[in-house]
Amino acid sequence: MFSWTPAHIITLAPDEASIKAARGLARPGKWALLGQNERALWGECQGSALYQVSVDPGEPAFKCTCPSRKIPCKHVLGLLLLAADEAGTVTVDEPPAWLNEWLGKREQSAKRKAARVSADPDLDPEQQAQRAATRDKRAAERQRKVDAGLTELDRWLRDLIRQGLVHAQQQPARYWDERAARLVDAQAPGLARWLREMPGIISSGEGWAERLLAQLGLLYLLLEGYQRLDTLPERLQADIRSRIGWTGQEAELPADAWVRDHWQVIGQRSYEEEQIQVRRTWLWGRDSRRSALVLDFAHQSQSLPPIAVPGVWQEAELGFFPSQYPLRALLRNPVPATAEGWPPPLADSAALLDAYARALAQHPWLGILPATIAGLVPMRGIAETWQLRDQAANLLLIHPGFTDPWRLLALSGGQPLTLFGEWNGAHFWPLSAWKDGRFTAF
Amino acid sequence: MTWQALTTCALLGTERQTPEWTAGDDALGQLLAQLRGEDREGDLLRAAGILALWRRAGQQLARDPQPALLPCEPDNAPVCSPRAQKHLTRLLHGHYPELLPEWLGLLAAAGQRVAEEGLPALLDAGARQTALRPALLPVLGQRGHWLARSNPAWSYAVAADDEALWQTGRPEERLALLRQLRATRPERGLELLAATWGEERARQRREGLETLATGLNRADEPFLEAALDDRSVEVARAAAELLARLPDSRLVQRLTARALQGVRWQSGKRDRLDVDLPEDDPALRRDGIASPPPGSSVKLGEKGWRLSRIIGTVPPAVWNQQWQRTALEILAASRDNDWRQALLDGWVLATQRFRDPDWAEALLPFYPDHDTLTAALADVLPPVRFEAYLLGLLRDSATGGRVAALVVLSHVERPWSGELSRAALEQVRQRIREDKQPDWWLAQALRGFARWMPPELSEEAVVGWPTEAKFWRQWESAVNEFLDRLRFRGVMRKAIAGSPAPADSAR
Repeated sequence: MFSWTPAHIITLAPDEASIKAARGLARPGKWALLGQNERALWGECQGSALYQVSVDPGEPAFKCTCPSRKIPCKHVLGLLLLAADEAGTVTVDEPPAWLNEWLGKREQSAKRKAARVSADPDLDPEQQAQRAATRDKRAAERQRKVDAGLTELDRWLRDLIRQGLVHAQQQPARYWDERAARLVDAQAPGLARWLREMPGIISSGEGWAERLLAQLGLLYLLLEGYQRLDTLPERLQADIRSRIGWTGQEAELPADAWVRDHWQVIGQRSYEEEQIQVRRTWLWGRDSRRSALVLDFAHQSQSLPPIAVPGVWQEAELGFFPSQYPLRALLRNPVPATAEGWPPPLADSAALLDAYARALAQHPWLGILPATIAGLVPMRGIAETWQLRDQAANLLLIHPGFTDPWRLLALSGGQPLTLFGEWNGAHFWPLSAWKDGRFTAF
Repeated sequence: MTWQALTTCALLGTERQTPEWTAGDDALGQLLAQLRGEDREGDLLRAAGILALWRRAGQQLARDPQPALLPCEPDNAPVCSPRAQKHLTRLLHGHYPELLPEWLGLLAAAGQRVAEEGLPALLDAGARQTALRPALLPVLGQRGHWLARSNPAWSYAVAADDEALWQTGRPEERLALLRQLRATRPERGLELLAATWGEERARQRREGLETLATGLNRADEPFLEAALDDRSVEVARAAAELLARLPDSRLVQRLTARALQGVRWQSGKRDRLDVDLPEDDPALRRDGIASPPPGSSVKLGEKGWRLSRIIGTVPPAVWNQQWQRTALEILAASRDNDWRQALLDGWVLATQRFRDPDWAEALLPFYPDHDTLTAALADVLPPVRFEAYLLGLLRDSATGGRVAALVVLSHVERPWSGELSRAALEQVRQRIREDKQPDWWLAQALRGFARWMPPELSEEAVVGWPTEAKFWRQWESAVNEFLDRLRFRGVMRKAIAGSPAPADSAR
């Protein structure tokens, strides 16, 4: 019933030292008590005192009575590694009273959290009004900064195009970096990120000018859209604001943004961006039949918040941020669940391009389209490139950043696979595969 | 057209060129037609944005002009259990990597194969460590051999069922074919090698010849004998090395005759051996004995080295028959000889080559500390005599013998019985109790012991450690690592012996 791999467990660890210490604890001799049932894993670990360790692998959530402030601590990681590595050491058992107590408390707090409305009921109306006023003032301040930053960017873009792309090509990296830094100051981090991608396009070889011009054109359309934001449909407004860098808050989501369903984690990848760890987790809803993206961020030195690993089903609510093509969502109140099914796949890559064109018509600045596609055979291209060949012999390029092409090829054996992944308009990044009813994450 | 014109204009800059485009009368053209204002930069950027979107939405994919890749044949062998697969991942990630060969061996014995998605990591490991390859090939399954064809680094693992590879394959693939044939049908391997022998380059000849080490038998002798005259010194040397392992080869017979001439038994009050040192001559050179290779032990001098190599090519039993003496008697008679070291070196080499247990037992006391040689000699003993020899040492009243046993055990690579394991562990505990300072080599060796003991002992091995000993703290982690490894081996076995996943079709 407990199906995590050590590799997954290691991604939860706050630092290297914890992993090392946990490995030392991942042997039965260190544990006075070990057990698991369908809800949780538990154990009593002999350290300086006897620590009670509880894990709910569904959400996941951890608890240990040791004094460490790390979450999860080495005892939790040790218990997980032991359960993952060795069959039979953590046997199915009746849970001890302290475990039931913890599970009970967690259920109650989940209920409380669900019941809580967006406004804090503990505050009196006057305090609430005060808070709202502060919030509005801060929002207005930001608005002013963004407006100024975008006006400046507009001027800069015009200068660039007046002087020509060849001129831009000859500029040092600083040329783009400084502009990006100004946009960070202007509280438009989304645009800053976009600008930082440009030097990479310039050095991407043949066809760079067309690709750069396309990006600059799309960026300019976004600026124009922002200038007449009020005239646009509300959800398109939200898309423009989010592309610029406004991030949504849970409290701002209306009640009807929340979708309760059985969700399966169908793909996940993590990377670093500007010294921030980013984790993209894709979920798919069995009844709502829609995909959702949960984004998590953490500073380099911190650990990302725990989330279920690919393949796991949860019953949960997902709150979708308003968008013409809603994907980004927040996850709340997840409870482990058992369910079956997988996203109905597109028939081939032509269907992917159709879906992409329709999505762009909704949301012209859509960065990534999640897609499940059937009948794909991975194969090597020229040099170190990889491709996916569909049933009609059309070739989909695999993203050069994808690190596991050999595993993909091994899994397929030259036979078609159903793949889930991210399409960015040029490359497909495989995140998981279904073959003969078996799910594999990359 | 429009897009190219836009790009050209953007490259030069609007201060040098006025943006111009032809707009059709479709929806796109009508949209673009609206952009004919005074705002050159803005219009160019707007048009670029519109066209970029239009192109994005309407893009077409390239079509593969080649026929589809030939898919892998289905495989009827069952895939190992997910748990066993997890163990493999751990082993490949450097967790107890020394247990990997055992895991592979267990899987092959169970008739199972590695799960598909685990193959790349395993094939990479085999590409880095050639020693792993023999154990790894049987568990790759059809999929592994199929996969190996796509990556030159994995050529060693291509399927050997296709003899056409001998004509068309890359050098590594041809060698892989030979190696796999030699393991099952050695005569066919020799035939292939002989068929193209005249056309191969020296390096290919030498590498091909070296594959004959697997399945070496007397049918290979005529071919090898002819290869002694190869124009490449390297090839000739490799042939001599192989012939020296075939007891009835002409090469062994020639060198035996020479040895019997040069080393003679002299009976007397004290028996002794007379030795004539061999001079360099073309016949000897042809048989692979020329002069010491650079870097080899020069203590013996050139002639002494030649003597040791000649003796090393004589099956040791020849001496027993010739002189009607036991190995011990012969060794005793060599005691005062000036060339004793050369004689001993030769006998050790011959004992290993021809795996003569009597001589191994007789020679062992001469190498009490010479770690690797001691181990190599002990390794020649069949199981019963190996155990008896080591148990004898472990029960020796002198500390020296008991320590020697642990040294030997730290170097041999073969399984131990429960009795031997218990006795060795007791000796380790004794060392910890008596230690004046921690024995680092033994702490290191202890981890390795876990590899050869029966894992069934893992529970009883936990108890009885001298935790009160002065240096216990320094030992503790080594002992724990030993216990972990031993236990892991048990877990690993269970995961393979348990139920494997069903075969391909049912998954």
